[in-house]
Amino acid sequence: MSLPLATLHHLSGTMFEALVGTPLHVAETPAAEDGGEILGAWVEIHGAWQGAVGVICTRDAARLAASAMLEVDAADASETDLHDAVRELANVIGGQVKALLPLPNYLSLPTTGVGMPTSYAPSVDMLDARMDCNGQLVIVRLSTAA
Amino acid sequence: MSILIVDDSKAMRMIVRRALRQAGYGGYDVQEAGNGKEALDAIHACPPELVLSDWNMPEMSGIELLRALSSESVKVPFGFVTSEGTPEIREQATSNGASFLIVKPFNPDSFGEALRPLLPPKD
Repeated sequence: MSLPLATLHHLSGTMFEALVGTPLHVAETPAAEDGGEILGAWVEIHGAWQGAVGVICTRDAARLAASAMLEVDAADASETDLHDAVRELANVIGGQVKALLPLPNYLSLPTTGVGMPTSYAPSVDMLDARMDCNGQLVIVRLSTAA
Repeated sequence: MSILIVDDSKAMRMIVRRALRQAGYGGYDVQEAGNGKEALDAIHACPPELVLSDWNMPEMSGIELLRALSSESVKVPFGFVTSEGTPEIREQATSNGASFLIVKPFNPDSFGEALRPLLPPKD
């Protein structure tokens, strides 16, 4: 993997706080990943480095992000809003990660889904920055294409 | 007097609106489009004072939108607000006529600095 974990933690925390206004902390005791309550969004990077950057988080963390980004009450954020917020977080964090990887490279459009994404599934060559946002799990995952 | 925000993310369009307000541009009407094609239709219907466009979008990307405007000889100040900030992307943006490129995430100051040479603030 071509990025140190500390860099991924720092970059993800900075981007998350800039967009959502809530800090992320390194998760000391990682929460369980419960498929039904987890949203994931991914951007692929193509070029000199091939892989993907994902943001995987609990539904409550996605709700918090959507509420802040869209300036709506958390209770009023729709399912579409939740996916949009997580997708944009993946897009922005992916753009920052991409800038640190070998050039030339290109960013795909972000995709989103419920549960853990099956493309770029957990692999040996994977870097997980596991973080906590107000008690909610947020993972930023850098995964190299097979 | 309007500013057109082009981004496939509703959340990002809202964040750009907020940055415009905080940078002193809250007095302009704001139009929104979800991709380059929608933006092109909006520009044909009612030309804005400024276009702020994402780069990566479905249907028609930001750079395709800029090239389409250029091929139609539509003169409208155009800036990118994008997560793509590599030198290659910046060169493409400039060579196709973009006035600036702001990398996400951004702050109101970076908006003000980029917009002031093109458009006066209006609260």
